[in-house]
Amino acid sequence: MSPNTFPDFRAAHPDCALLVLSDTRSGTVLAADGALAYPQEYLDAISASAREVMAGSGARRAWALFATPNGMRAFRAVPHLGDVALTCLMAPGADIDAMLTRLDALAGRIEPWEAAA
Amino acid sequence: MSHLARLRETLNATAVIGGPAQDANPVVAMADAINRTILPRRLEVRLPDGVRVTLFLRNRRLHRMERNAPSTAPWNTALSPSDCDGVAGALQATCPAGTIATFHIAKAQSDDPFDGLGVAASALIERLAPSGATDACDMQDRLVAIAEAAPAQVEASFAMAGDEIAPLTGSEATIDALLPEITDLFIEITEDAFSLAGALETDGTLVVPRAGSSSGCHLIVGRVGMLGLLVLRDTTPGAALALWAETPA
Repeated sequence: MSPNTFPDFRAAHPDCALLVLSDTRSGTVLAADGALAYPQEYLDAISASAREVMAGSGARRAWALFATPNGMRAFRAVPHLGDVALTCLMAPGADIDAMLTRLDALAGRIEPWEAAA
Repeated sequence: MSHLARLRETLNATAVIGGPAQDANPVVAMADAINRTILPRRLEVRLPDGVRVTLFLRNRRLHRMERNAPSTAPWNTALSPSDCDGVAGALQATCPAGTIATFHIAKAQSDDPFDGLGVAASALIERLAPSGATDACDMQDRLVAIAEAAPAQVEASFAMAGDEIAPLTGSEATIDALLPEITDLFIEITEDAFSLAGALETDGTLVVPRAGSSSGCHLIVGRVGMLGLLVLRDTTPGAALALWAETPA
């Protein structure tokens, strides 16, 4: 994974408006890239949601999806890194199944040292 | 409401700094503002008689309300869901319909009190403008209709109101087998700290994989005071969302 990995992913898949890598044990933001300059508190809120949804009550999920009329959040675990997950924000109506597959491929390109950095 | 209209209203709501409330009833406008606020914010409402009300909002919940006049509970105290009636009454007494209120929305300070669970905006709106509790009935009818229309996909369906979990559809054996997992899931998403709970009570939909299944998922929807769940087999997350969205309310 290079510094351009997230921007390149979003450029290739415009449905993804914001991509966040989070530590789901602590809810910490590890990396993020978005179409807009989102405030840190917003990224923190997304990571907190990722922690609750992906690791809530001790359950470790491979994926989750939260949708409202205003947009969708796809959560995808990065299993080889432990308690780490990707979150992608999308517009309503985006192809969620395809995005989860793309996130899975992206997760496989993230090396352990990058998540720990 | 179209997505663009909703987006425009949301941007307008968060952009209103020092403007008059757009609604003739300032309490309804307050509830609407609470329903649109995710990040920690303080909403200051100035009334013509000099009274200033400050609401502390986060995750579409009202956590605390203060005013610059002698007050008793529910003012100046941490709020919980059981305070909903008191909050609605106190706000209506302070800001009667027809009052021209001035709103000011600002970021919350680091030491602002967000110590209570808070009152959900959806519950407050229901108190202020009751919908006749048809939402909850509609949701159950919709879950049952989906289960009957797609028996190959829907293994069972459940509803949770208060602490009670009730099966809506599914065979007895299936329900018995699923109940432990469903109970854990309902407990998880109704925990006080679950940040998506407010959105789930109004227009949010959560889809998570089934435990021990590679091709099934749970679809969870909500209404004020109630959650509904579909147990789906051989269904992708996108197909689950479509199943819910395409069934008429």
